Amino acid sequence: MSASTVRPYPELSVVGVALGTVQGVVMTASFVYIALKLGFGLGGSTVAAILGFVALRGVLRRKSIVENNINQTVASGINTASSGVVFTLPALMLLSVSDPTLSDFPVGPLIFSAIAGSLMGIVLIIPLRKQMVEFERLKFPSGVAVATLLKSPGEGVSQGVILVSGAAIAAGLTLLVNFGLVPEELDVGHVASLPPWLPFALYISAANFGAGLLSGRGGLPFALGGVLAWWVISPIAVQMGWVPPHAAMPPAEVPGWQAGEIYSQMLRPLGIGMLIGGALAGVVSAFPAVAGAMKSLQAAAKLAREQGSSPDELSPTVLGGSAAASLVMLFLAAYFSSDDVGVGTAVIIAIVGALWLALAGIIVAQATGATDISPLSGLALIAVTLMFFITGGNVTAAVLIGVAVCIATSQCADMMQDLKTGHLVGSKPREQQLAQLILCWIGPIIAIGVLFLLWNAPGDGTPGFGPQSTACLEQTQFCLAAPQAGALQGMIEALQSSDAAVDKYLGGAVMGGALSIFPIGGIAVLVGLAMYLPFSITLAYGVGNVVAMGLERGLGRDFIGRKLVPFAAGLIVGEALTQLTWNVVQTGGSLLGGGQ
Amino acid sequence: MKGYVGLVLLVLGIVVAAAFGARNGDRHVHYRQASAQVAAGQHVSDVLDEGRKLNETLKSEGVDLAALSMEEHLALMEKEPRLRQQVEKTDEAITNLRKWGMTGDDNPLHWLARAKQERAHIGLPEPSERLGAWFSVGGTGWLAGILLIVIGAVLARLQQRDDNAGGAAGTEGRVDFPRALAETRTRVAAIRASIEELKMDEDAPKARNAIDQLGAEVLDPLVEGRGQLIARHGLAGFAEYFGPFSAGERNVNRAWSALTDGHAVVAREALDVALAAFEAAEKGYEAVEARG
Repeated sequence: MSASTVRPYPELSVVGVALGTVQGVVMTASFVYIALKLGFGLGGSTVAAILGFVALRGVLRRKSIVENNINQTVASGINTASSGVVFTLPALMLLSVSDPTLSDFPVGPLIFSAIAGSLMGIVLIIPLRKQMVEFERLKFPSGVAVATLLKSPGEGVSQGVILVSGAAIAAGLTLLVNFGLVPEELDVGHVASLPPWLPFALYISAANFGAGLLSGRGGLPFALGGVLAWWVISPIAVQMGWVPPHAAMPPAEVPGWQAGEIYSQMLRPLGIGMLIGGALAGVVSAFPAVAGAMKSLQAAAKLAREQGSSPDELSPTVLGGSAAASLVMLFLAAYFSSDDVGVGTAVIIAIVGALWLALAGIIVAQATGATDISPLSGLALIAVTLMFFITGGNVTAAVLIGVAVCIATSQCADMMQDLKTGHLVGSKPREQQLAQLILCWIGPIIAIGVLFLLWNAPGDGTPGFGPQSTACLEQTQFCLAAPQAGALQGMIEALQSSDAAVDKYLGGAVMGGALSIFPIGGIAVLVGLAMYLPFSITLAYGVGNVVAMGLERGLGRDFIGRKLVPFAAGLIVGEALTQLTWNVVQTGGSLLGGGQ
Repeated sequence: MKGYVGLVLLVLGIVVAAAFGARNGDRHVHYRQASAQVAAGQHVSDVLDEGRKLNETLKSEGVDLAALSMEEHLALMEKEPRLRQQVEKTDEAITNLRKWGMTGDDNPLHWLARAKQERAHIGLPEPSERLGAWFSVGGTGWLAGILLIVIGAVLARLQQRDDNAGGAAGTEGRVDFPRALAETRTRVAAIRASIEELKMDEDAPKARNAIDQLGAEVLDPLVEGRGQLIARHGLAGFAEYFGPFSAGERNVNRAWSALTDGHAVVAREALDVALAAFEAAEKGYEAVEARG
């Protein structure tokens, strides 16, 4: 074979990175807007992989699965900042309404904090790749779905048909739900006249069911945790009289109120505590493996230097240097956030913030790895709570670090998800890590920039969410609701009135630590997550687990690999794509004056 | 047996610890009851606010509700669905507040003010007080639950250790890492040989199928059984050989991707790297076994 016939195999290529960057920037800007309007963010990996497939393989005729993996890694790495910023920053902006021009707003520290979070999230989670992807073998259902998509050119027609069938079913179901023809929840309990504190409802989501299918037996503790919480603990609490209503409350309102109290005042905060305790115990128990992995990183880096080749992963020196740089940025962000913050407090904020950020990142990566569901909002609340107490009630500093934590935790989950995809398609982890690390500053800047543009949006028919934006002054449909910001604002106000569930956090954390002794990795995080989430999600996910287990028992492992995985991947991909298209059409329609 | 008992204790422990751990202290419970009362009053207040805004809107449109007679008001309600909906909403909210005990001659806003006052009088407990109150109402049960969890988890670990000892003695179901590795290396070498002459852009479906089969028949069962290996060697020992094993697995996946993309050279390189990684895994395993 002559040398001229051998083409290089594109992986970390200019084309792949450029395409990923463009997609990432566009997705960040549009997802910030969508999240302000609708209240939830979207993951970018699936969409980027599909668009990359079309652009790289279809248009540019570049046949490289691993190059598309880099493209989706870059795109989702940039876009992941949007959810982190949108959840936290608008709350701080809304709390500054005494000065709607935001003239004193600490923009510099904000950008420093956001980039520090983005960088730190990546460098802190990279050393855990071996632990989570290779040793624990967390499922990362969306990561598997993207890998299935990337590998589809080589999987043959039959698997392609299965993938497309799954996507078509998901698309159909999503549209039926969005058009209101199918309810968001199948509330069997309501039909059977069960009280709301004994719920039996299934969340109608193809992606959630698909994630359950992909997780199989591994996801079962999550579903069982939900069953214990709502079918055992909740009735016990009611029957024991632990949720007594006000003497004057109308009897018809009592069961609903009790269900709300059990969720918001009992199970949810306890679940957050279990997540924290479980993650802490997980870090301690996994320490030998992580230390071993770090040693092997060092050895591999040394060997690669000697041989003049590139190692599999970024070297500990690069990771350590980046971590130190982000810590300094976090300190500067805290110090310059407010005149009330001195050097000592800023040092404490930076260190505690970094420690919490690392722990929260691990929790989110583990939860996403096991179930595809991220408890981001609860962890952001704890971050803001911690900082609120450290700074003696300084909201600006607290939210600024909350921004960093939110972005960092999103980055952790996204990086690990992409690394899982990379493992399945055979990408070099170093290339993925490098791409995401180098470009991690773009997302925060775009997301913050778009937020500021939308804050004071002056024109008629221009969307905005600040009180001085024309849309909100005139109360038109272009005034964006920013529901997540409202939620965090409510949390901050609760903190200011000392309403922090310290008892549940502590009790749950000890429970999480004790559960971690059980020889099933991550069980505390799974049970904690089940208590944290609405039961309808957990139950529908559990149905997926049981179906997968039944199919494996009846039809064998081969069926799972060849049929069920592409089908479940199709369900995830189909819902993500349909929901995105729906949101774009819906928000585009309202921009053009159609209203909602 | 120990495993089942452990599991039952663990589940029981979760239920007991979570149920008691989720309890709230008395003052917190009273505060939440009072909050429900405030929420009911606040709802009426919000509905009345909406009504006031609608009145202003109608006034700006030339309709002064205050100046209308009852008949005119009713007639307007027929014509203006906004007004009818608002009146119905207000009636419903006030009826609901009456169910809460508001008397007919009471003003909803006064009622709300009293409810707020009652809540403020109870007050939210400070974090330290909240912690103490929580422990006093649920602490014993919560601790008992934690104890059950710990006993259950320890029993499950003991069972795992016994299973592993059984495995070491040659019981069926034991993960035989060296044998699986040897099988892997043989198969990877065969796949490597089969694509020795493969040219760029040439398809190799047989090689890809062979990789798929290797995954399904050898690598996946090994990955599934890794719990036994962790129990046998501890996490640190396990990491020593499972890291290289995973690197080998990843490079086999890379070969699959490269073959799909028609890059025979990269596929061959990846399989070479995989073979070296599996060899390193084998050596690592032997070293860990030798250390006992």
